[in-house]
Amino acid sequence: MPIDGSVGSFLQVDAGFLTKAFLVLFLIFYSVFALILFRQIQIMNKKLPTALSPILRFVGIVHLGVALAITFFVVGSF
Amino acid sequence: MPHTHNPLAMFAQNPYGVSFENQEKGEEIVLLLRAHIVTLIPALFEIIFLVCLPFVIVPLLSIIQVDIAKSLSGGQVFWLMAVWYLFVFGFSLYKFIFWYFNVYLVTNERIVDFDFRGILHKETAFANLNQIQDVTPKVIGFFGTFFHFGNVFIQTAAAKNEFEFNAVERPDDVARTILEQVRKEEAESPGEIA
Repeated sequence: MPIDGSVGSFLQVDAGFLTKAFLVLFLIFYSVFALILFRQIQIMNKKLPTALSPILRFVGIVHLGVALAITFFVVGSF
Repeated sequence: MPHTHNPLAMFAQNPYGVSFENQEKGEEIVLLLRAHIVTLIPALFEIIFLVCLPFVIVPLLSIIQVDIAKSLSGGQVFWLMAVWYLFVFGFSLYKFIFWYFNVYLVTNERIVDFDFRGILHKETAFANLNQIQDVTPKVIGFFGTFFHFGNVFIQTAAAKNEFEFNAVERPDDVARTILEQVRKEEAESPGEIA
């Protein structure tokens, strides 16, 4: 029996869609990881302030910001 | 004793600009210790491997007839690469802060162990110098002997009865400094912070 048209097109998932789905899912989890990493840096900086604390805090927030920005770019423009 | 100004030092005597939560008035950090930089070599190899991985994967995929350039557009390949290198950066940052915040402190009043065991697991343990019973430095293995680092085991009468300073530089000097501080503490009157 021939496969119905709509089912056939559903099965032909293109690589672009798969890549986007994977990236979006990965980036959501990655953003949570970046947020936890930033919180850890904040907490540890409070527990043990050092000369490097402001730089680490800055790197942590830039990392989180870039992760969120890439997530929005991938969702919106891919 | 001179101050150590290097914020990345593994063996910092009187570290400059460092303090810690619950530090008492008059309490001074005598020694700040981190794991020896050699212990970061496996992480460095992992990072180099991750950086090079895309350059290996693409030719490998072409062997099994998967051509990324044909399957994905230029923009898609760009975002894939951007996400990959963001991940590599995050991994490197994680490895760095894991090393940077795994700190052992010897103050003129107590020893402090900041254990950063994972992204969601960290512990802090304190033991007063007058609770220290025994200090044992150990240097084991080729790298430990060559680069002069090892573990210092500290037996205490505190809630956590054994402290372990892992892979610290010059473990003999660390043990000597701790015992020196213990002797000074024993000479003080109870409750005195000096």
